[in-house]
This record gives sequence, C-alpha cells and structure tokens, in this order.
Amino acid sequence: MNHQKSENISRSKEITVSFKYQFYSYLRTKRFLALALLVAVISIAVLVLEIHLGSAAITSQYKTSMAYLFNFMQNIIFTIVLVAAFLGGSAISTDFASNYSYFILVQPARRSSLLIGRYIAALVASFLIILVYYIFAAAGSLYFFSSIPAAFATSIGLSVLFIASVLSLAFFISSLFNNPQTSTVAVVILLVIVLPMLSSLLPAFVSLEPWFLINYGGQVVYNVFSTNFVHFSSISLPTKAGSYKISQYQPYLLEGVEIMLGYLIVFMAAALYTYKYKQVLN
Amino acid sequence: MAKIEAKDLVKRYKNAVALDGVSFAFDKKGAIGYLGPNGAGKTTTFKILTGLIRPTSGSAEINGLDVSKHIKEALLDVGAVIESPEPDKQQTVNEALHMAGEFRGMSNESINSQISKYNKLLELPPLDARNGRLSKGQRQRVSLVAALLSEPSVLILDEPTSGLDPIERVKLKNMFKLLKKDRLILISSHVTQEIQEVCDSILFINKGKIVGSGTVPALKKKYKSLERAYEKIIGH
Repeated sequence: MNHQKSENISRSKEITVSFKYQFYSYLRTKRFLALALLVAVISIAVLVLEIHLGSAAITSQYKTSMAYLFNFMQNIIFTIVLVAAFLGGSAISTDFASNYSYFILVQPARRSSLLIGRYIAALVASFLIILVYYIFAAAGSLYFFSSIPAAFATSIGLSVLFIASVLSLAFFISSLFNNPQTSTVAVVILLVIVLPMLSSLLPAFVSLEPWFLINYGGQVVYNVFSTNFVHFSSISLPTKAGSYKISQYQPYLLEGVEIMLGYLIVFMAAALYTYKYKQVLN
Repeated sequence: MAKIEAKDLVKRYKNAVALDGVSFAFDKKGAIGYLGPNGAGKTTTFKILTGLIRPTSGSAEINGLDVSKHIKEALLDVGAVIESPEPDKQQTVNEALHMAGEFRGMSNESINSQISKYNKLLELPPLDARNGRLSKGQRQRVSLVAALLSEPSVLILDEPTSGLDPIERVKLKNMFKLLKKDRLILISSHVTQEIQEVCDSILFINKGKIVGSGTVPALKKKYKSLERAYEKIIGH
C-alpha cells in the first residue's frame, strides 16, 4: 500500500486551512445571505427615500458630506452588532452541540489555530456585509455632495476594529455554551439589548461615562463624521424638587479605539483559553 | 513506529467513575479489539487517547507522545473515528476531506488520489454533496476516509461500523483486515462477532476497569468461543 504520510504544518498554515474552509461555510449559510440582504435592502431603502426627497432638501438639511454621513451612519453600530452576533454567536458552541467536534478536534491542529481561523473568517464575512452599508453611504455622499470625505476611510478602519472586538466577545460567549441557539440568543440579548441600554442609561441617570462598554466605544465609527464633537453634555430638567440633570457622553477617538482593543484582546484571550480546555463530554 | 499506551487512566465525572485505573500498551502492528458493554468506558478511553477529554489522572501516549501535552504531534500519525462524527454541514464531502488532508500537510494531488482510492473501497457519497444532506452511514464513511487519508500508523476506531448496512460492514471488515497488516488498529465494539473477524487480540473492559485480555486464538481455546469468553469475563 502506498503510504502518504502526514507532515507537521506550521501554525500559519493551520490558521489558513481553518480560515479557508470556515469562510466557505459562512458564505453558504442562510444567516449570512439573510444579513447581507437585510443590510442591502435597508441601505437601498434609505437612499431611495433620500433621492425621492430631492437633492435640494438633503443638501440644505445636511450642508456637508460629513454631516450627511454622520446621519447615514447612525445605525452602523446596531448593524455591526447584529451581524457579528449572528455570525460569531454560534462559532464555537456548534462544535459541542453537534458531533462536528468528533470530526474537527481529532485533526492534528491546535485548537487555538482552529479558533483564530474561524475568527478571521467571521471577521471577513461580517466586513463583507458591512461593506454593503458603506457602499450605499458612499453612493449617497457622491450623489448629493459629489465628494467623499477623508474620514470615510477612517470610519471603515474603525468599523473593522469594532467588528473584531464585538466578534471577540461573541466568540467568548459562544465558547461558554454547548448549544448554538442558546449562545446566539445570549450574544444577541447582551449586544443588541443589554449593552446599548446600559450605555444610554448609565450616563443619563447616574452621570457615569460608560468607558467600559463596547457599544459606547464603537460610537467613534460614526463620530469621525461629526462636525461639532462634544465629549460631555448635560441638560437640566425641572422637577418638583428642583431640577434633574441628564448627562450624555461621546467617546474621544483614542478612547474608542482603546475600548475596542481592550475587548478584542481580553475576550479573544478568554475565548482561546476556554476553547483549548473545553472537553467533548456529550 | 506504531504505539498506543494508557497509563493508569482515571476519569471521574461529578458522581461517576468512568475509568478506574485503565492501563495497556500495544506496540506491534495488528488489530486490537476493545470489548465491553455500553457504558463500560470504551468511548471515554478513546476520547482521552485523542485529546477530546482529559484524564482525571494518568496519561495516554500515542507513538511515545503524551496526548495531553503534545496533542497536535500525537494526532499527526493517528486516524480516529469516535462516536458518529459529523463533518461541517455546509461543506461538501470533497471539502471536508481536503480540509482533513490539508491539516495533515498533504498536497492536493495526494489528497485527490487518496480520495479516489478510498472511494473505490468504501463508495463515498457524491463528492459535491453537502455533508448536511448525508445519511448517518454516509457521514460515517466520509469520516473514515478522512481518518485514513494520510495512511496513519495508528487507527482508533470507536464502533466504526455503527450506522452502516450489512454490505458496508463486510466491506469495512475486509478493509480493516488489509489495513492491520501495516498499522496498529484499536477498535471498540460490543459485538463479539465483528471483533473476532478482524482482531488479533482483545482487551475486555467493564465498569471502567480492564477485566481481561488475550489473543483471539487463546481466548477461543480457553472459553470455546469468543461469546463465551465475553460472558465469563464481563459477566453478562
């Protein structure tokens, strides 16, 4: 019998193999296609509505392409969080729910390489969907203002970092569960409901800057288009007992980057640790 | 080299002891049957040997490498089919096999020629079929071919014929007889008939302990048949 012996491959090769096949899988999932379609439909709808309103109405309302994009990008945080939650929420847990672990974890590859490959695949797949949003934003900016500001590239770069950090958190949560549905729901509830609520309520009611929340840090993605950036503002509401102060914070660019990098590093390390030592008990 | 060694393996779960001091060592080519009733500890042993779980104490070595310390290197020369593996549902059969081959450093040409070779022996489902649409038996055959692709010197097979029809079982048994000539195969089962047709020696496990062992001819001579040996040794 002709023996075809195994060869020890490098870590980068392991990651490449893991990435390549996971990426193919992502592109074929219904959730990838559904999310891409959803983002495209919403972006097209917004742009069509603006065109219907007329160029004069839009240019008089926003004055500059920066102001236009600042408005257009208001939903980017929600979109990124939704995409990353659905693509990353089941990335690890799916191994332990199905018998896929018996196929993939007996291959001669480090679990850390498998996870990093999947993570990069999720990052690229998520970015492809978010790119649709940016394409329509750029189209709108060109149509109404005949220009795209330099901050557009910065925003794309920050989006990639935000996707990376949200996926890092999603992968960690996914590594804690043995059921992909449960982990996806947990990630969606945390990222789409709990964290946005906290990042709105903490400044408003206890005047606390939510510097530890990823949704807060992610706001720099659209804040780069802001023409009148204010880090802190507050309004006083009259009450029977006197007045009540409601505060609002916006992250500085560097602060936002630090928050995103913090999430990326801490939760990636935690996900790697959990996955490495997780046992296939079912 | 082809060597499998379990050194005083103990695996405890919350309220149960799955393995209680299991030790064995095999370093010669051939097929070893790992026989015991359901829940005896067969799959737990195999999971430890392939790094899917960690022992509470003791160690497992493949070709002299401690699995819990050098998992990648230890698995490099091992083909394993544990439980009923499910390749990625979104991948095609061809992609799943190529991924397995690429993790073992095989070239595309080698992978294709190995797929072609085992396709003739095991009749794989269409290579462009999605794994998510395969039957249990088809998935089992894909997993077997993935385990055999690089012709590893050690095969660890946990009830490899489960989910296969009688004709497929015969084909597989014939293939194992061929494969054991130049590699070490550890096969678990609770079907004595299957084991005696393929294996040279047998290890009996029950309630997490090795309760007996011997070569197939010696066991047959002592107990008249392997079924009787199973009854006497396991106590069922």
